[in-house]
Amino acid sequence: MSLIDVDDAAARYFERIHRAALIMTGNPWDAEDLAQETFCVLARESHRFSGRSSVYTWLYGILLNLDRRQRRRSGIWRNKLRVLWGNEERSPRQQPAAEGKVEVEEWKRSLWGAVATLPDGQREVLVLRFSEQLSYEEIADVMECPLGTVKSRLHHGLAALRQRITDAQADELRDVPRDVREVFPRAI
Amino acid sequence: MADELLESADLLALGEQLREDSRRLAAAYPPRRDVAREFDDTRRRSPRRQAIALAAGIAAVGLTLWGATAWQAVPKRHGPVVDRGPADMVADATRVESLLDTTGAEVTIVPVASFEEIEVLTVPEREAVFDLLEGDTSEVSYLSI
Repeated sequence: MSLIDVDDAAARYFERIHRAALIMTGNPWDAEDLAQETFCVLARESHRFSGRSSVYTWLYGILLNLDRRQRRRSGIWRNKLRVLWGNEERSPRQQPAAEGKVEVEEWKRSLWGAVATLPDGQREVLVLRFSEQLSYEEIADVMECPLGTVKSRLHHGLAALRQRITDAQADELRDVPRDVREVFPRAI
Repeated sequence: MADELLESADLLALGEQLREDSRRLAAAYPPRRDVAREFDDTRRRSPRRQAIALAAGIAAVGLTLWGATAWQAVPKRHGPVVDRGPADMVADATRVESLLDTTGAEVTIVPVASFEEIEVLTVPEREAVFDLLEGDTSEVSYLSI
């Protein structure tokens, strides 16, 4: 028998899960799909919930897994497209649609646009800590890793973010290409 | 929110900026209310209900197909009888001859795709058809009812 009332969980946590999905994907359309898929998985797999953690940390775990899977698929498709296109220099008009960015402008201008370029472990810790306001213990629970790893990833993630902003500022001073300026518009 | 890990001021500031950006983005792009409701609706479709819906769908499709087949099988009493055009001209001389024998009409009729239309006519209707054809001296006769 399941320990989770799925309807109740959807009513309570859908907004939170949607916010995390929005921060991770950068656009509201993918965020809705990801949030819905998270709750569909919850409904399907609710019998697996043991009750050792809270429902919302379990939900965040599902969300991160789905996001990782989606990114992996997207990466595979991009690589295939690169092979198909002969890895040549292309003008933006010739680029396959799948490589085009679909994130909303507000997200791209925010620091979260830069966070998206960090490694998965650091990126996820930053989302759970600063967007979702989870405690270190809760993050460790979601990511199924030791507390020390969470703290380390958080520190290194922020340091890497600061470094990227600094680099972008330095590059701007040297009149670097426009695409880098678009990645870190606020920092410049 | 104070963070004991982030001893340096700039890392603290970065953390605060991330919080602020998250709040702003969440306010700008809230979840559509119907998305949560759609999820509820989808979930509430239990396997039993889905099975009933599926069975009803299959029954509806079956009924429609049966109806369409039955409709096609119904002879069109008021449609064209003889003049079906070259594409439908399939000879059935035996049946034509037998029809002519029974009526005794001395006319030439090009066999058509099917004489079912004539066969389902009532005897007086069939008599009328052959009466009409009797006066036609051309080799090929056409008649529409």
